[in-house]
Amino acid sequence: MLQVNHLKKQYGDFKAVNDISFTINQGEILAFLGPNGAGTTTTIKMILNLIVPTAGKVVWDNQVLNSQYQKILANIGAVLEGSRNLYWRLSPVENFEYWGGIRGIRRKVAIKQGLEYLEMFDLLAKKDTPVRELSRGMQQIVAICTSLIHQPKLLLLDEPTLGLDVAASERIQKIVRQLAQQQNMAVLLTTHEMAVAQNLSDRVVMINHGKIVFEDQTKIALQSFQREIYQLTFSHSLPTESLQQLAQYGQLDQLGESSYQLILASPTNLPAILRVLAELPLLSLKKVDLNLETLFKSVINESRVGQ
Amino acid sequence: MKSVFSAEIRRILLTYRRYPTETIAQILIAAGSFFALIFGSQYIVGMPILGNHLSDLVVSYVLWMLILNTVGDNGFAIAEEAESGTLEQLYLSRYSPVKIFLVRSAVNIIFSLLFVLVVLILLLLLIDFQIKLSPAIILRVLLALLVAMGVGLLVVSLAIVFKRVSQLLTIIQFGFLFLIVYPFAKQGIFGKILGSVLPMTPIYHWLSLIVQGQSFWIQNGQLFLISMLNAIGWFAIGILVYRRASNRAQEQGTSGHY
Repeated sequence: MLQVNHLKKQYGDFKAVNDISFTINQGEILAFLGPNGAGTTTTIKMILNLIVPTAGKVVWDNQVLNSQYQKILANIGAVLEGSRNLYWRLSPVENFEYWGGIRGIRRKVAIKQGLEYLEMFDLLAKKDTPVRELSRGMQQIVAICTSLIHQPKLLLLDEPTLGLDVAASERIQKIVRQLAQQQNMAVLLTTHEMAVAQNLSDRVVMINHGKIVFEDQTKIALQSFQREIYQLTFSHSLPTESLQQLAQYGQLDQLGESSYQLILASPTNLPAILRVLAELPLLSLKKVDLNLETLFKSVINESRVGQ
Repeated sequence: MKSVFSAEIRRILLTYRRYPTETIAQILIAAGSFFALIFGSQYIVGMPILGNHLSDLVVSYVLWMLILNTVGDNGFAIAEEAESGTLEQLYLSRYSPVKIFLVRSAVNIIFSLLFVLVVLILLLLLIDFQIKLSPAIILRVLLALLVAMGVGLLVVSLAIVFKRVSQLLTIIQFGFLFLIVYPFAKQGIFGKILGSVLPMTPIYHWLSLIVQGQSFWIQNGQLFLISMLNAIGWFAIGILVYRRASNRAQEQGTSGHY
């Protein structure tokens, strides 16, 4: 449905996005992940024509979009990160009316559509409350409802759960899943919360320094990531010499003052590591279940090393 | 585009209805400032301001407010929306940003006119004074609004690219006051050229002659033509600059927040 082909964005000598290509299909949730400054938001904004690419193209339903971006915008809903996306002085219904008008939807249709989504997401009781009086999670749900009133085929969500409490985050995740499964909507999701990405995504694309460094089906990626990860807790923080000793067997990250996570470069390293640990003030050693966060850290670190 | 127009009208009406005290306060401040200006002038001149001077003062003041509302509302609104994030959502419409901002400007002007009309009626009632609103005056006010839309789009352009425009708006406010009160026509050939090219000046000069009782078409045919060109010119400049600014913001990725 949406193809991003060799997209580039350069500001002077700085390459914010450097040759990114991916596709997203109907009913699919694609997690588009990267550390801060990796180029995720820039890529999303290029898809939306909020930023003009230096090179590359966006293809919608096999049609290259050059100047007729309005065609794609009629099919896309977007909730952007750090933005209000709504008029806070207005109620949800009034926002539906307004943004429906801006998107060329008749007033009655926009209200009907918006109310249906509010009902679907259990927020109908708040339809007349000014948005500024709603909780952060509710505001985010209203922003998602508003982005859906023109019934888009693709929904772009930039950090949809940022700053939300656990309950609100779970509610948003349920909504995203409902939209993909029940309405066959494609969802392009960026987030720094790897648990959210793991819960929701069918496929994952990771970028660093503007380049794609990993791409796979989420389940397959987790199954095929053959690394052993250990959480190590010591009675006190380790001297640099000991840290260097451990780091030669894999990737070592500090978790707390005296706790570390070690991703083994190879399972065959384990005996050697145990010998090193025997000399250190080790309190506990725990094998960690593999998750997307570990995979993400490993991929991003390897991409740094590879540079 | 009809849906954008009615959505914008409804949004502003809803905001007025929800926060009526803001609107009432604005009207009272506008009327109060006028009296401060009159009494201040009387104190400086040492005699009451009467007759044509008063007509001039009322017309100048009302026109100035109309321009400020039109120019300022656009600039402040865009800067505010860029900060809050709704500006990017406006760019996601299936209509082009130029069309959307033109419709917004038009709606802004309608509400500015209503606001100024209320202030004008209030002023005339309070000072027991009458101004005949002839078609000639209305035509010139419309031309002035066209200039205001053009200058408004210039401010929007700056707001889109640079975001922080509040200082600039203050300069523009006093700049327009200067353009309205300075007698360019009496400053020789250079002054006359400036008075024809600068935004609004020929229109105001023409308006001032009408308020003082001079006839509309015959005596001031040349001024009429210059005023028309001035209005159309500044409106066109506004649209052209806005298009460039909007493209630049998209090139640099600055259409978002601060």
